[in-house]
Amino acid sequence: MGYRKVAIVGAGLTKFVRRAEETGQEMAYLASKMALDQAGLKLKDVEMVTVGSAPDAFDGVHMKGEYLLSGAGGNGKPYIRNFVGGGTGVFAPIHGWMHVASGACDVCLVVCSEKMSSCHPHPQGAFLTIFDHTTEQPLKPTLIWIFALEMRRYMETYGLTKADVARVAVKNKNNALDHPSAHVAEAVTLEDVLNSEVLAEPVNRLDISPSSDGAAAVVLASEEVAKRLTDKPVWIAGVGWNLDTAYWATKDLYYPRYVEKAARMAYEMAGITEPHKQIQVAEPYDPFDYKELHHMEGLLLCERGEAARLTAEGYTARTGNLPICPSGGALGVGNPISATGLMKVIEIFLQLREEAGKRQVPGKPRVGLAQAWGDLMQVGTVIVLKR
Amino acid sequence: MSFKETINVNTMLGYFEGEIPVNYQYTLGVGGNKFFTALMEKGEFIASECTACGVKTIYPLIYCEECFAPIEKYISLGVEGELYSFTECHYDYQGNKYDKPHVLGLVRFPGVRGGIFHRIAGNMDSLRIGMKVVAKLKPKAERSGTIDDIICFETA
Repeated sequence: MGYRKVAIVGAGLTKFVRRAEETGQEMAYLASKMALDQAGLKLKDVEMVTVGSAPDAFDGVHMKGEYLLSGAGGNGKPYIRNFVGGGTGVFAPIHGWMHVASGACDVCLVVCSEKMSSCHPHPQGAFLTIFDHTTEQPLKPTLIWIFALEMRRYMETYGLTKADVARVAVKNKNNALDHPSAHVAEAVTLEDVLNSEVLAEPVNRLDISPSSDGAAAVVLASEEVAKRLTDKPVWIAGVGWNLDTAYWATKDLYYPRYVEKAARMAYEMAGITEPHKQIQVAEPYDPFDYKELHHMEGLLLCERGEAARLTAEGYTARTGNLPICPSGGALGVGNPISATGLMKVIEIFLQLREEAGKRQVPGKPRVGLAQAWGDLMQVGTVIVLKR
Repeated sequence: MSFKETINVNTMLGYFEGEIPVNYQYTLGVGGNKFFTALMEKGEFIASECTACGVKTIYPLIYCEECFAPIEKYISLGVEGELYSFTECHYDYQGNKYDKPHVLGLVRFPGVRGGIFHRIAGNMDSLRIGMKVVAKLKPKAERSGTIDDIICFETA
């Protein structure tokens, strides 16, 4: 379609922690420097920079993109922040892809940094005003409330139990034991998840990822530059994004159509016609355990209502036929919103390069996918990578 | 037309009062910790110095904005600088008029990027760009490691 080929040639990731001593700028620097070092590049080699970060209200810094610029290496360069709520972490490399695929530049640094711990008493307070100010805010809702509605409706639609869903949390938190950035990796059992505190029935505490501080970065390069830099470029084969209405009550709650639309866009670009066969490793967004199941179905990686059964059968385990969230995901590694999405892209990058260490999935995968989601059940962002 | 431009008070329209119910505990950061610890304990300003390209920066960073090298060296600038620019302000951020105008200025240090934006003692007539100013600090026992440990800058 006239796009230039774009590769990921370097990646950097900080630890995800509850409270980082570093500022958002400093975390952005640490991830950016790691990514540049891996790519064998200096800041002067970077032509453009794009930064993804969640709502300003999390950090308490308005114009956060401009604030993060310094640590993201954007000083004096064509620089811009991208933002699609919780979908930002996978949109950020899509935005960087636009810079390089269009021919605007050959090397683009993509950075996501999130400082959730500044926000008190709880980041859910910052979410309050994403709800409609006259019809919903007076109820003083948290996002967990409406995701509880979504989880219940999903379970009801397909006849699932809480245990069917909780197996995702068990899998991901245990996968994260092998991730050096992990914030909350725990060898939890199904009973641990089911017996954890109820936050909003049917959502228990261990069904949810924790809020974390952290940053991630990747370096994107055009084909010519990528081949000069590395023997193992990972190509961005397809990108897709889609946003649905903020009137979340209009949705069926059991199927994320916006994710399917984003996926179909990415698959068409990547020449993927049978995603359940052609995608060999995937990192769907899993801020809640049921969301991984939701997103597997929206991504057309399985039939609707089948994701929980596949999980129970080990199909999505790291050694299964289709490893899902081998990183440990948001549930296990932690959830510094935008940095989580980019962490997932980095996981696929490492898996396709066979550099994921203990987390490496078998079978020398050649095609993988990362996806993020966010807002009032609104955003799907999808990227397909190929070796 | 639904826009009622003759109405200039929100409460004359249907409305709902709201707020974003959060406050913030901003981390000083690694560079910030070095600055405020030195200010509190030694009564001096710290800058970062890039050993790769030589750029010095206040407030101190953990990286060089110019060349992206990690910072390994921090230097003292003392508390004396030059008044780079100044202003007399008459309104606060909520639109209230001050009883007495506030004088603010940017103080910079020769050979160093950045500067300190702070209160300046004296009236406008006594100030000129380029004049030497020195920080007036709280007594050590009263310092808490915040920017308010600097009371103001005054003529050197």
